[in-house]
Amino acid sequence: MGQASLHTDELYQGALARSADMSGSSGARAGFWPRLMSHRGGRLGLIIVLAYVVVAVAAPVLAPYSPGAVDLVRRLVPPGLRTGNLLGTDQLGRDILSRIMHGARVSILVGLATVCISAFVGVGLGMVAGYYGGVLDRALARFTELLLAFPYLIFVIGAMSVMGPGFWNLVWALSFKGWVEFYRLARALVMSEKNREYVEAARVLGRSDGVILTCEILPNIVNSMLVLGTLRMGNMIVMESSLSFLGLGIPPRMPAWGSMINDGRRYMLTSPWVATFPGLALALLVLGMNLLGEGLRDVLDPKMMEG
Amino acid sequence: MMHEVASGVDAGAAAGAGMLLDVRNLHTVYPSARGNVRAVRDVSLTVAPREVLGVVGESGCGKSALMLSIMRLVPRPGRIVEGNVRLDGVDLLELSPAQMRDVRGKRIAMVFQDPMTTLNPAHRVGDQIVESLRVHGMTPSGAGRPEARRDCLRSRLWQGRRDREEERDYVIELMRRVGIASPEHRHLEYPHQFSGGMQQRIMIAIALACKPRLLLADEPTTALDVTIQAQVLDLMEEINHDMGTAIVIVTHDLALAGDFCDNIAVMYAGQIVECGPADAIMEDPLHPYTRGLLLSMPRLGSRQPLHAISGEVPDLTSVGAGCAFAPRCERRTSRCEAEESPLVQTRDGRVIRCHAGTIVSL
Amino acid sequence: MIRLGRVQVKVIERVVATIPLALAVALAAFVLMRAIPGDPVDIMMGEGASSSEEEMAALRTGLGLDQPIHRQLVVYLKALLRGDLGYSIVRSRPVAQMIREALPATIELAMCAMLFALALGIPVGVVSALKHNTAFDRVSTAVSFIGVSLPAFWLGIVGILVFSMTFGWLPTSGRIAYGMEPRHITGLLTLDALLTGDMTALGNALRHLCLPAAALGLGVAAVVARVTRSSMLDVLGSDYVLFARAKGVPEPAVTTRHALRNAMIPTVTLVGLQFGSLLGGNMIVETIFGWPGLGRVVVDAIFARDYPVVQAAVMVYALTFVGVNLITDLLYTVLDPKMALE
Repeated sequence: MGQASLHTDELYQGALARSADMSGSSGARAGFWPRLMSHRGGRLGLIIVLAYVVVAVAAPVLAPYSPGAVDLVRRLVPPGLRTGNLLGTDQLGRDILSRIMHGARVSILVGLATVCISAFVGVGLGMVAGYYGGVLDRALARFTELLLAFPYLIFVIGAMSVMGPGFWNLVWALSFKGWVEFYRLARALVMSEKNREYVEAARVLGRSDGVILTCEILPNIVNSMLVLGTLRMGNMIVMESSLSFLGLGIPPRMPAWGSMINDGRRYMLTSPWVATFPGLALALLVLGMNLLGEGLRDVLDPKMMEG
Repeated sequence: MMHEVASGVDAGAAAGAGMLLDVRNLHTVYPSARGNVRAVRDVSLTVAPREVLGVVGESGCGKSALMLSIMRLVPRPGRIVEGNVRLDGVDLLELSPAQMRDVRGKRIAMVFQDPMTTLNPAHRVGDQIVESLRVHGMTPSGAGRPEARRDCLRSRLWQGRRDREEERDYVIELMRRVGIASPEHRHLEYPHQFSGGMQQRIMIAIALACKPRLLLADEPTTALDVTIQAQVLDLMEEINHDMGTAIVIVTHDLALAGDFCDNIAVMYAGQIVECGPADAIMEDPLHPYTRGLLLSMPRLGSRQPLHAISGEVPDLTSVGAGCAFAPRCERRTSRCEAEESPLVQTRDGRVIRCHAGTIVSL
Repeated sequence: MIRLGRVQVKVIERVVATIPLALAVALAAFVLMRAIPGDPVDIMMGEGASSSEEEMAALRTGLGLDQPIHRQLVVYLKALLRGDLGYSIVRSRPVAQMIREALPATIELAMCAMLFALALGIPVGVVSALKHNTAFDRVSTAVSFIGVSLPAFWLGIVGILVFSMTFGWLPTSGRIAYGMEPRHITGLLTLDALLTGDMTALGNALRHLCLPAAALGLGVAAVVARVTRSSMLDVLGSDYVLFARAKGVPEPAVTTRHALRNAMIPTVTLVGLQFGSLLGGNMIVETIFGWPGLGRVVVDAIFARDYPVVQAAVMVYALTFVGVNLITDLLYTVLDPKMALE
């Protein structure tokens, strides 16, 4: 993996350092799209990500060939405009462009599923722990400290090696550690929000805790979660690729960028395109997600992250 | 004291002679996304040796920018666009960066508002005081002499250890002088181990290390409790008296300035609007803004409702041709809105920027 | 009775507090291998296994998997305290020995990668902050951004393609050329070469280190550069820097004496945390470069379904990470006097 973890620690520390005078971030909804569009990086990121999503969704229609179509006559064809394979073929004659397109589906799905589950669990637990404190908070603190002692990829590889490859195995394994970041951020934010006046006001009005959490506090932390989720998704996708590189990701019959890169390793000297293009596709998607995440952060909550 | 800058009168040599600090027609601008913020607009003032001048005004009136301009520490992208700042006759704005660095700390020193953020938390206080000496290449005995320098490398090495002892003694003495107890132990401590008032004294000690002739103090007591305020001000008064250091103190507290200063300059929206002896201004303020400030000070024992100046401070990016205070002034006329008043000298040696003020003074 | 300064007490406190965590890590490694869904034996046998029930039962007994879980745990912990990490199924060797042989290589690689990241990232970050908004700043920010997005294993492969295959400047794999190994002292080839004065070995080892360390460290370098830059910008705009300038301190001294020290503090935290990602990427990079370290041992073990090895390796990685975080924690007490005395 080696995917440098970009922002979490900064997010966490920034959230802790937030002063109470931050204006309600939900107010930033007004004029959200224009602002995002005018943010150079965010615009570019959004375009890239949307392009990938479109390709992923429409892959069966858009791809020139079937991703699994083996053609031993046309093995290791170099990329070119007139050869019929824009990005060349791999060692089994399969069209690389089509495989990349189909690989996008897997990667994006894994990333999306993982982030959704992690966010759901992490935010849920984080809000409860941050709001009530007490035994749950302390217990979770110990537990997360333990979880954090394991480097992410190591943990996931360990888990996958026992569970075996599979889409949902992978998603569970990634989420098992992934929720921690959302938890920490949600908890820090709730702890700083719960002392603010609007919460006080709601309590005075007799609203129950549950309602306060969902209707009052949650909208105010959604923005930060959105930013974190976007930034994290790139990370998840890289990890998925790392795992499929090792053969531990999704089942091998589905095309995945990581396994494509692994396949292409053997042919690096003679046919470098087999490994290079999937890697480029991966890098570009991650770049897009990072740009989008940063753009979202600048637009939605610039004070969230200092340092 | 002020000298007149009204058109037609050549203030020149007569007014500037003998002055320690002579600021003329200073303009400082901060470019921003919304436009150029004209923080200092045509400010002129002088400071005589041993004088204590107070610069009074609300937040955003440009008094801090003025101090930073004098020190040439205006943060980029802000810059000084026009004017002179003469120290002992030498225009600071024309010095090279290296020469200006020589002036800072040695000839003019500055203390700031919040010592907790201004003192470096990672250095011991003794080291921070000594740094002032070392960056100017001075020995404690040479402090106060403008050109004192350790020239010879060999003598520098030879003297190394003796100098360090000398420096340590000097630091301890300086800390004692500013009123810090047990300086022989405490000079090894870190800033966060001192209280706010003590930290401020340390900052003053740092400022005084090279025995500067002028001390600029930007709201030095604002962050302190009232009782500590008084102590720090007493200290500054002692320094002014014993060491002969001139002081320019920036504050929003007119009463403080009235007590402490020889002369007061009142600033509004980047300009000086009134300047004169402290007693005179406190007793009989001429400019409507000064009057407003004075009236809005709560008085012990008084039951009258507090007078407030209506309106808000103007946006310094869009300053019109008329008087900046006009929208809030009770005595404004159509002339005020159309045309700004120049600084005019009144009979009792004061200067005021107001059409109406000149009439009232009679 | 030794008199301990306040700082030393703090250090000891922190070290002692880490012990329960280490224990918990060992426990967690055990749980990880046992409690997640999936029967190791099944997977070892593979899908559509043609092996008989007896074979599977024998394997289960061999692994101790037929015992109730609390018995397994006790056996595990007792073995751990003896330093016994189990027995490799595939290689029939004690796992501890395998790890001990492979660990120096991984440490050497990880340390070099981190050094590379710091040596590249910190200066770039500092200069970017000093030259805020100039061309250098903009370019370096963009490059850091891209650097963070590139996965290490892909960088490694491209690196091999460019530097080894195309230009032939650097070797494609391994730690050192055959027969050039210096006398074994620490296991860290560069250090050993240095200590024995074997300069050719040193040069050779360094050449082999270049690509893997760069591939692993580039992503971290990018993050370090970004954090250093923004931390430096913060500090350069701070009041005490203004005060230092007001004292007449010359700019270079302002940067080094005043700004840097305080700006480095977030970078230190970051280093500790990034080390985790470094350890993760380590596995894959070692595989690509044929680096004989713990990562390659683990990957081989995974493919061979050698569970004791995987379990032990996961634990060792995690403990290393905990250790590194402890060290960065302690570094704080040096950098920030306030934290030391809290």
